[in-house]
Amino acid sequence: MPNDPYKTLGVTKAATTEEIKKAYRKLVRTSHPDLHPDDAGAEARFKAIGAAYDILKDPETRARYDAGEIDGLGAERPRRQYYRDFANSTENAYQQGRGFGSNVDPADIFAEILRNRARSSGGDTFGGRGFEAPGQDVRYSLDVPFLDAARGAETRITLPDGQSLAVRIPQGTEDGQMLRLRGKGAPGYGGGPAGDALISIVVRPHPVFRRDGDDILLTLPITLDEAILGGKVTTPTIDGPVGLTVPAGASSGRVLRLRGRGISRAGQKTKGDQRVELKIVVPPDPDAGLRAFLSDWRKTHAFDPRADLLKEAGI
Amino acid sequence: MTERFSEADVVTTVTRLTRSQLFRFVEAEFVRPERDGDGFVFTRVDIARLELLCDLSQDLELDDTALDVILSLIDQLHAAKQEIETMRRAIAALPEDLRASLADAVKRS
Repeated sequence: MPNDPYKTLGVTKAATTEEIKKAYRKLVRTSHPDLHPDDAGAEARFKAIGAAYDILKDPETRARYDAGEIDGLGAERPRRQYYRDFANSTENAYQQGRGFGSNVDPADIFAEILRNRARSSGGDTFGGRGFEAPGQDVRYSLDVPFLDAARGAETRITLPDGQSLAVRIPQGTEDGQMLRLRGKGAPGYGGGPAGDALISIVVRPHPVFRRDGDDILLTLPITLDEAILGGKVTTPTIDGPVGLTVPAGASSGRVLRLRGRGISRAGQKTKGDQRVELKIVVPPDPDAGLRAFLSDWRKTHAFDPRADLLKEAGI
Repeated sequence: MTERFSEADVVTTVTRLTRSQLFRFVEAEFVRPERDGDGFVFTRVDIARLELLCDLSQDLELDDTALDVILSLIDQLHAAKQEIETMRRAIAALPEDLRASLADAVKRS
């Protein structure tokens, strides 16, 4: 049978899914055009084994093929360009040496080749840079307000030469993180690409918010009556104030979690939380009524929150 | 004229690629798209490179360290081939006697 996918992958009809996968992976290694840039037949082979694998990897399509319902051609794979097709392209920014270009004096080319050979024989890596060299990376440091780092922001830095550079601070940027601005460093040599600007971020502390990974930490003062009776209070978050329900009987140190009120990052589905630590704050000058009530209350209620502590202190 | 693709274009073109994987590859600098405001701009080279990354990471189950090594070697190989090709063309354009003496020199080295 023409286009027999079993034959293409070199497996028998009784092969297990695992065996088929193994055979396919081996063929990818030997036939991928990008892993064999000089092999003119690689692309056709790779296409054939891809189509064969498309049929056999799925037990359902495999069964339909076995029953003769579909032929071995499989679905047409979309035409694609391989990375090797760009090996000589000026579009290819990943290549370290970008070739000689058409507008270079040939005498220079040979001088460069000889220079490069001399350098590479001295133990330098060959095939990398040579005829032109990328510019140096330039490092900067940037102070960022806490909220700008948490929520993301646009800012500008002024370079030593007086120019200013737009910098986008991504959401959730952490203290010490490095931002890389491609091509914003020193200019390249001999037509080489410019280096990068490397910006290390210093996040300024916030008077109220702190950060633990993607969680925001905050200490929230509550009153004595809110602690005992519970109630709805307003707490700041990095995206503005929200309501928070304090449960009745909450002590100082109790941590309440506001789900999804922390830091969100690009490409990450779950947001961090805001963790609110409660702190009971009594009025600076308790009034006579409150004093009187508590003096009475104390006489009839024996609650010692330090009992366990003293026992555990072991002294 | 260089064609340019948005993140959404890329994940529809490279069907195996999810958005989060794309961001992971960008984060690891396996692809280095241009930044454009809040997003990225990709070219056809980036797409071909992402197809290769999918083959290597999904079909061959390579991890990021291996991907990094392989990409770097492929790029170095391309650069070396390019140099050889330039030399080959230059030598082919030389007069016959010069080519002969060059061939001699190669044999002796």
